[in-house]
Amino acid sequence: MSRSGFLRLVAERLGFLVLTVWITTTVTFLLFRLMPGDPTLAYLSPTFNEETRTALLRSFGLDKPLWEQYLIYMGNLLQGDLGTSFLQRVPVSQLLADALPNTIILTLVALSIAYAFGIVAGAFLAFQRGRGIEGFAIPAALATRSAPEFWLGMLLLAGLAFQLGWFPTGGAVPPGSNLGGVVDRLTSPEFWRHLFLPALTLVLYLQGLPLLLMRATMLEVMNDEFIVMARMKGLSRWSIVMRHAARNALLPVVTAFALGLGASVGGNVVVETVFAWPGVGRVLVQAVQGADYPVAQGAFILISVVLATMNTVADLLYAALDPRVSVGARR
Amino acid sequence: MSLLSVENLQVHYLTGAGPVRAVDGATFAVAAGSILGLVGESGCGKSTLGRAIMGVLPDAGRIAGGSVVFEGRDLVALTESQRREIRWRRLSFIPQTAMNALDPVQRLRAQMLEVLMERGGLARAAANDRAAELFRMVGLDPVRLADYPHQFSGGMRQRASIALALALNPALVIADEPVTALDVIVQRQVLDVMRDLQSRLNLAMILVTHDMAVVAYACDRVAVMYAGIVVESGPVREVLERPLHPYTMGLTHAFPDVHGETGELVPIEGSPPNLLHPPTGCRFAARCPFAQTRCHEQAPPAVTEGEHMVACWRADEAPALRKAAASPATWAAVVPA
Repeated sequence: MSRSGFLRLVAERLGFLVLTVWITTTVTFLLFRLMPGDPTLAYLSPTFNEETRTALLRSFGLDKPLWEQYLIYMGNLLQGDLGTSFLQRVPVSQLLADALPNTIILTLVALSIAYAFGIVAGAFLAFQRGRGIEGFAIPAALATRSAPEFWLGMLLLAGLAFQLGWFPTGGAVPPGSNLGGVVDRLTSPEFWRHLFLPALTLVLYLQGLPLLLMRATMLEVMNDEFIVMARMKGLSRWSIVMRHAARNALLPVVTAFALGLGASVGGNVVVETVFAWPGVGRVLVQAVQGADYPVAQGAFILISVVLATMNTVADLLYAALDPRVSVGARR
Repeated sequence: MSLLSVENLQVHYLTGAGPVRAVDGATFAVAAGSILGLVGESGCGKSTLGRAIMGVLPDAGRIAGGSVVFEGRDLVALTESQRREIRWRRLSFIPQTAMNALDPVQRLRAQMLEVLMERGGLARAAANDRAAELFRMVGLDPVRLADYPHQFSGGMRQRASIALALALNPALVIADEPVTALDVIVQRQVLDVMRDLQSRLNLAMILVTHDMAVVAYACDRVAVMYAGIVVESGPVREVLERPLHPYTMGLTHAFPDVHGETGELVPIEGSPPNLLHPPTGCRFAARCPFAQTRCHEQAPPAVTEGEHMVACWRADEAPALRKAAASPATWAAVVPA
């Protein structure tokens, strides 16, 4: 692909990204204001008199017309101000900033292992087509993929944490100790010990998709004429499989990885809850349970922004990896 | 001695219903530096034959008998790793659809260098020079080495495939319908490139085609295949002007004349027999206007006179049959079962 063509594509996709984020934040704004139930009830004690109530509403800006609230909301968003938690009385942005690294570490570790395993195992299974191992491996991949995450998580907890005591039962650090900065966490063996079970649960849950996808595309690519030609050229099996077959078969898997990364940030809710992992998903669950509207709204926005961003990354990755995408019309 | 001699080669595809005899006794030879046209209609086994010589058959394909002697060695008897040594270095292949034959996500340079370095043992710099030289040889600008296959036109892709096939100076190139997917003008250009390089490099070539005009234009010798069998072979002029087999006679009338003389085109009615259960007698008998009882009962043996081989019971009556075959009415009278 030509360099200028690619840059134009990047600019175009970034434009779409901004548009998407604007729409989702607007929908989130409306969602929380048009929902039945009065958010202020969670914050205001019923014992307050009418006067105090009105004063508080005014201090939150909730007495203003909707459009004015929207402008203030957008203005605050642009400055990174997501409001203050009803329950914890700290800025939402700070709550999320604390939780996001934990979610990203958990997601990246689990997703990377799941995809590395899935790609290799999928390519291997493509070569074992029609042999006995298929009858075991494919049902196994499907079963772990289909098993509910919380159930897998609870089985692992019951076995490896409660029965054998090899791993802690929850959290990211031993009770009572401080979480510390991101670097502290990454260099702490305790953190990794705590990470093991939630990550393993996610790996088991996530590996099925790349495995089956890789196997299917690999089988398809192996029938392509250029693979036949590679054999006719007398190329080594390694060259044929790695340089030609896997390179072509990887395209959809890479896309799935980027999408999976985006989806997992929001989708780890279950695993984070089971293992009391202090990530964005758990913050969201606690906010919903406690009717902590600003935190829930902030978490929604964060999750949708990450998801939209990863979609954009997937698009661009595909264009960078597959020369046929988007250049045809531009040349 | 011939560079390649194929003797009674049998290639079967294993299916649930039994083996399909795609090639069922093919015999022909290719001399060093000459072009053999392998001609026949779709499904007669000519592409399978080409792939069998390369030793790269589809999964269900098996060489079930016969020999392929190339440079003094029987390829059928070699191990896979011995065959791999010969592939592309001595024996290379130009595919029918260069569209899918080139890896879509790799630049042409990478695909050229792969062959030149991994199979040719060249260092990167030498391989780069050779790639540019090969591109020039087939009439492509070496600048285009930086392009991806989808940025090439059909004719350019076919030229690139030819450059790839010639990369390691093979002795024999098998070209499987190399111009079929191209328009007539580009066909002619690509054929000229192939013919020119063939004579300059003293290559031997097998040109698989269904087009008699291509054979007449480009080939020295021709082998006519029908239903997995070579029914007639010999020097192109000899075979086209004095065909001995009724199928060849039919083929010469079924294509426009190469020199532009407009005669009436006459179709050969019907279609080739099912190769799962081939007929016992001559395989062409059901579509042959001259078939007799004997033709249906017993397969005719191959008879060679000079350089001209034919497998037909009535080959000695050929001059009379040719006269009759020239009339469309003769072919219209055949009602295939």
